[in-house]
Amino acid sequence: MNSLLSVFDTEAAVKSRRDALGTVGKLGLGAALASVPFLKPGVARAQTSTGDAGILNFALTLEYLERSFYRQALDSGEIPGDVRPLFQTIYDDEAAHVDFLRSAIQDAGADPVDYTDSDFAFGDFVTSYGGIAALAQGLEDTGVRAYKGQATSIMTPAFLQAALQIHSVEARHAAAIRRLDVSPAEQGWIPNGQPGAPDAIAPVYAGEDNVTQGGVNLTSALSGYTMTEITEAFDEPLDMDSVLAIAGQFITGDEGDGED
Amino acid sequence: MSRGRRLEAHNAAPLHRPLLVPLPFMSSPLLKDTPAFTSRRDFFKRAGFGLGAAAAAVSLQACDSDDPIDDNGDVVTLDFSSDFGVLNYAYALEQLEAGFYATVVGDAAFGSTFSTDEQDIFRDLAAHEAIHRDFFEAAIMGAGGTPIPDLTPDFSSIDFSDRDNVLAVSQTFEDLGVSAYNGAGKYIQNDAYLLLAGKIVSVEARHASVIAGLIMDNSIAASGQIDANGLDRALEPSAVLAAAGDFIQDDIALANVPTV
Repeated sequence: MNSLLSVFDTEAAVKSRRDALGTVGKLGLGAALASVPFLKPGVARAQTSTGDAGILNFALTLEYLERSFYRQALDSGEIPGDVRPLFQTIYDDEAAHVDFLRSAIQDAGADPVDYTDSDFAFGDFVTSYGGIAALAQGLEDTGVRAYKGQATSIMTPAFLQAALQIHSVEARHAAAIRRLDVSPAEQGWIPNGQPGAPDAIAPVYAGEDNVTQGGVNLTSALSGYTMTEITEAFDEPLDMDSVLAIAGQFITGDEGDGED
Repeated sequence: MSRGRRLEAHNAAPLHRPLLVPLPFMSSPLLKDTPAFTSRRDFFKRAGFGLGAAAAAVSLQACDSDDPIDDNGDVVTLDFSSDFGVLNYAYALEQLEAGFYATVVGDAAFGSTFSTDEQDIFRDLAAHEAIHRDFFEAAIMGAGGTPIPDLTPDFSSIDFSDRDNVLAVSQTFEDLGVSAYNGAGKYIQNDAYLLLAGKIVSVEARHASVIAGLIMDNSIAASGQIDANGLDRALEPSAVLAAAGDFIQDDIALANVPTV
């Protein structure tokens, strides 16, 4: 199950995001996809896997994943003291998102998916600050795209608004993580297609170099801006399958089995 | 407010606008019965209007004694019965932000008020907001709607050579923008426009997060902006306009905001 993560060189001194991921190489996304419980055929979760409840459960899955990641990151001892408060804040938000989404799904009369901390594993991403920062950036930027990709499918106005309210918080997380002084330090926004992204997180940025908005190529329609600025000014959605292909790498346990 | 008295904008830089050629953005049958706007037309250079005069040059609704009136005696109304209302609402806010950042980077003391890193950030913010502003104007026209006129800012309360002051106002504007988009999403009828709003709000949230981090280490939002559930604020249009009104000379009215 963890063959993807076992390619990590556990003895490498990791100083940067790029170093952390340089040893991983391409993700075996096909294997990851098959392992994601959310997509297992025949899973009798009809009540939770369709409509607004289904979308909220998709979001809840990601929030469980993030909560687990930040809990493991904070427990690793690898986060420098001067930025620990940021990671604590982000962890608190993700934990709150889990609780909020569970309540929302139950209020909708559906069953929330149920993951525990040990259903997620992040291998060597949580054994160094560089790894933590790299995966945090990847997860947050993915989360933004995931919520954005589902917004137009949410039918209930209250749920749409709540999804938007979580989505913008994930974007705040993403921007702050990106700005961490871990080489290479990034701006809070995504330039072009995130050039230089290590192979392991490159799928997170597929399509971010888009310059066509509302059917019009903005590099020709608007004057006075660089392509980089135009790509930074808009974040792109990502479909559910693509998000789960990224997230699924880190889901190692079954949903709802009650095991800790 | 007495009619005819014009407030002098403090240190306001000319709101330079690039020449725009309207292009057929997503002509949607939902928005109008007439054929989509496809022909190029001459477009006056906004930069030449200066501050405040632009409103008088564009035909607006006749006002009666009940209408809120601005210094020119004109009414700017955002009618939410069609998506043109919410698009113009977004356009208004982007105008405000773009004008603010143009003034920030255009201030004579900019290079000494801010560090090099901060200057880069403000230049990016200025570019992004101007892109958003120009995008909405072009999108509204392309869809056959009428963009609101250039609004007249009032930045008289801001000392642009005071780093703390500028950062605080920037935070106010960015958080307000996030709150506005989050609260307006449920009013957008056309999914394509909802997606576009979604693409922009996460960038505003990135902005807000970066600014928060400049104000205080490890901060991603102003106190109270994110609630106990980890949700970013969502504000109704009336609340947003009340807050933004401190910085806009024109009176902006809302019409037909649904009760959702």
